[in-house]
Amino acid sequence: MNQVPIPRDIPLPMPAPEPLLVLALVFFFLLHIAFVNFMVGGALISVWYEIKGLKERRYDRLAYEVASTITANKSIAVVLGVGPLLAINTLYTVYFYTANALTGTFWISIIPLVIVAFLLTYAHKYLWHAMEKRKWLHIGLGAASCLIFLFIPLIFLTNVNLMLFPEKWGAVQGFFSALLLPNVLPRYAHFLLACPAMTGLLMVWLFRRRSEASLAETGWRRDELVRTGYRWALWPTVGQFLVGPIALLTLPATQGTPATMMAIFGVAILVSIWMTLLMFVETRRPAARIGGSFVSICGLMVVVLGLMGAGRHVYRETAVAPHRELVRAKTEDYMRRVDEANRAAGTSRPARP
Amino acid sequence: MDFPVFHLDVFGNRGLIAVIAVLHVLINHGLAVGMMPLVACMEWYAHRKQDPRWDRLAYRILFVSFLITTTVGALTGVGIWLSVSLVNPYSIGSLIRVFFWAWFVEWLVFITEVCLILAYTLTWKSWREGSAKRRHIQLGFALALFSWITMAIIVSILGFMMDPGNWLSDNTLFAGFSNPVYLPQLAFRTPLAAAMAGIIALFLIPFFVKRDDPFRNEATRAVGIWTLLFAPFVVAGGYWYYSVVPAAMKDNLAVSTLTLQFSGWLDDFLWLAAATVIAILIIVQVAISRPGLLPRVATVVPFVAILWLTGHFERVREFIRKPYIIGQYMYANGLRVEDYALLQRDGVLAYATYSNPLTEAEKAFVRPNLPEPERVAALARLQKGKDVFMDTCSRCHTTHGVNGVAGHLQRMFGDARWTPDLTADYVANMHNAQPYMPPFPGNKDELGFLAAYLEQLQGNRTAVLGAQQAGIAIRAAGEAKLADGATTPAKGVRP
Amino acid sequence: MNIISHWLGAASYRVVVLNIVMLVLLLALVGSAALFAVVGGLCLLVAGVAGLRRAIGASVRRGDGRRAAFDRVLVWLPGAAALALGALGLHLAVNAPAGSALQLAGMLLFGFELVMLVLPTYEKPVPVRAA
Repeated sequence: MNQVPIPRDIPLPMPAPEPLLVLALVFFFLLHIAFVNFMVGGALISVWYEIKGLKERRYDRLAYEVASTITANKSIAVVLGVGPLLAINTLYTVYFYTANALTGTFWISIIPLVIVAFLLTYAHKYLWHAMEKRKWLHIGLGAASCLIFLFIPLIFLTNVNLMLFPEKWGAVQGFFSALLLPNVLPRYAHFLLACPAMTGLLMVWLFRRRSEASLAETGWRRDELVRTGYRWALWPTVGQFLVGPIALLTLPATQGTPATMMAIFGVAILVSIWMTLLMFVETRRPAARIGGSFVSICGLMVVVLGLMGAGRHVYRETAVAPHRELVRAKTEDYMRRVDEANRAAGTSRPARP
Repeated sequence: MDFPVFHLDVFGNRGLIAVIAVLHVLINHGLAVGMMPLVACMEWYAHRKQDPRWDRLAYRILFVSFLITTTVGALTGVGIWLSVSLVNPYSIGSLIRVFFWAWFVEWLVFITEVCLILAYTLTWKSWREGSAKRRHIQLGFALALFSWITMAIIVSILGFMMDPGNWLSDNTLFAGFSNPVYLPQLAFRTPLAAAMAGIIALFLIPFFVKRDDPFRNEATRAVGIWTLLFAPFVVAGGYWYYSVVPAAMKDNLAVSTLTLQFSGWLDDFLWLAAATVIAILIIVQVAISRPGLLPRVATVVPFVAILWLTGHFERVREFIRKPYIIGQYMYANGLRVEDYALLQRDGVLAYATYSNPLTEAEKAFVRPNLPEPERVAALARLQKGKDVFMDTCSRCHTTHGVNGVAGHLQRMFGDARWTPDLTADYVANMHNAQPYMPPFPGNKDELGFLAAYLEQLQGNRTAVLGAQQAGIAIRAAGEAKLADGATTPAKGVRP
Repeated sequence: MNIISHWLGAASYRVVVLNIVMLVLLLALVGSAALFAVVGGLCLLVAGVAGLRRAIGASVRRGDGRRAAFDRVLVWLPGAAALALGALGLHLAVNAPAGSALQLAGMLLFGFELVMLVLPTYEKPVPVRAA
């Protein structure tokens, strides 16, 4: 059953010029996803180090340092998500709400899941020292929050994927059938690798600016910590050179040419290669000079993220543009009929906004 | 409403929003808008008097607030958005088109508020002396202000939904913003938030200050004063708010507070609410005059009471807006007032994109021994009836669950068979009998289809699944039909 | 008898509270709304005036700026609240249908608020320990 539904849209005008809304959507979403990367990556890395810390004490200390960043990053991640949500509701009303409804059970379950995950991260951080004697239970708290953090992105990805393919709306039944649509899982892998990578850069930033006194408490040297951060940034990014192209090539075909999109992603790949090389060089630098290229790497990462966001937007537009036209025609047609029926019935209606 | 129909057939769709939203209001009033000024005042007082006991208490209360507001508080806020988008996308979609900038500004203020509360909480222990402490106190008051501003903005939107004021004729954002319910509602909520915070603080003090510490009485007394101070403003603001609620909506007040069955008990309920308020005031008075006498358990009473009152108030506020979801513009079923001329002529299904497949239990209603053409026709009627039900009734009603239509039909017609003769007329006229019901938006044929579906409900008690579980089917009407009757041109070609 | 008088003597307010309870009980038993109104009104008036004098005196005594704002509120607000609620209780006791729950509630409220008016609510400021 490959019918394409063509629903009518809300007959009110856009509240702002479309380019402005698009800018709000893409720009603020990139900020949101960066902090989500920090949050998820921080949770994963913290648990990893805490397990290593069972053998070597100073890893436990490092785990605590990383876990401490989650408190701020999680709240900023959540609040930054509201803007893009507002923008996507406005720009893609029909598409977004339809996908929400079709995956509704899991969509709304985001709320209790994230609440539990956040409470677990608080427990993990604030009971760290109190639970010294029950390390495994403590690690369990961290691991539980990680599991939740790993599941929630799937719900978001399923939704933003389903929304682009109206021909699938009649075919899906519930969340899991939508989850398995192309190309949710490759994109998920792409996101997953980004988490430790971005968090690695966060660690570099964090430990570059720490005072000598507080570093001494951790039992680590500054250059060791910075190098560790760079390693977390480097190796998952290397993995992206495999996963990224898979995600790109498995994107469902759309009408309209993907040339612009390919060009954007092409440039992004080139910039990423340059950035990865710099990361590699940093990991090899001696203690005196390590961190020298940090600003350049961050600058390049910003460019990569910007290009990713732009490329994704081009794909999104290409995917829905034809259908959008049909929706618009349907909506205009409907409004004409409403007017005609009101005239025929002699109903006086309030002036339409 | 032209979306796949998300539906919770036991708990009810309204219940989903209600639980999330009431939880959110309780937290943001009691722990953010009301609590941040109280904590900031405590810290300021501690610094002024160089009394570390107040500082310690303030930090502990802040920390509890921080834990709850940044988890349950923040996520239920997003949850309101997600749940409303699921239950009534046409209404929220319309509101966003009008109030986009208000929500955008609100969001910027939220970002500030989050950064401030993170800074305020996480620097308490390190910014403790001299100018750093003074800066920290300023941070607290800034946080209090920004929390209030977020409330001030969202209240305008809520007020608009009840009475759009000039928006229908003067379609600017400012007109919507300056609607007549705005200031009264704000004047009510602000002192309410402060009073709630006081009561929550009264509840928390015994956890943080030991019984034999004389500071406990001092703190209890001071927080009691805080609560008492705001109480008359709650009453004054509440009265002002009540006085501007549009006259027609006031008539719904009876039903909204206690569901249809108990609408006659309204007077008693109002006295009960008054008694609760007085009980709260009495306990607060004891807290002030004889704090030592106040057992910890006594503070649970005003704590629970104000949660109950606030939750109920929110329910009343939402309900008395019916039959509209946006006053005068859109009914609670997601259809606009101006759509009705067309839909009551051509039927809602003529313009409905989606169909909700019949379940096996529903199909069983049609007798299997009917000749094939009749069976097909009967199933088609039933299918249309279900689609009418899902599109026009399901936003507020379930089949057999909360506010279930079966329950209403049972109450009205008992065990008599719910035949179309009995039900169709009622459905056509129910908006005259109950002013909170929107008029039936379909045409006469669809009344018949709906009646067939309702008849089937009498014997079939299985819950109906929404689109989130059962998926949807595409109706023929879903494909574009242009005014001249032609169907869509091929995909991708501009019409 | 000794035990009772000891108990009463232990805290000065206990006698007053006992008196108020007995008065309200008596007025309730008599059952005359007019009498309740007159006596009750008089009580509120007397307690109100006495409270006012105490409050003014306390205000004057501690006009020294330290803790002034909070203390001033502590001095005036509880009395004002008790007076307002006491008046409400009196209104209910007098005007509600005889024997109804509302009247009983009014009497109880009136009695409680009278006690609140009579008990001293403010004390000397607790000596502040240096930071």
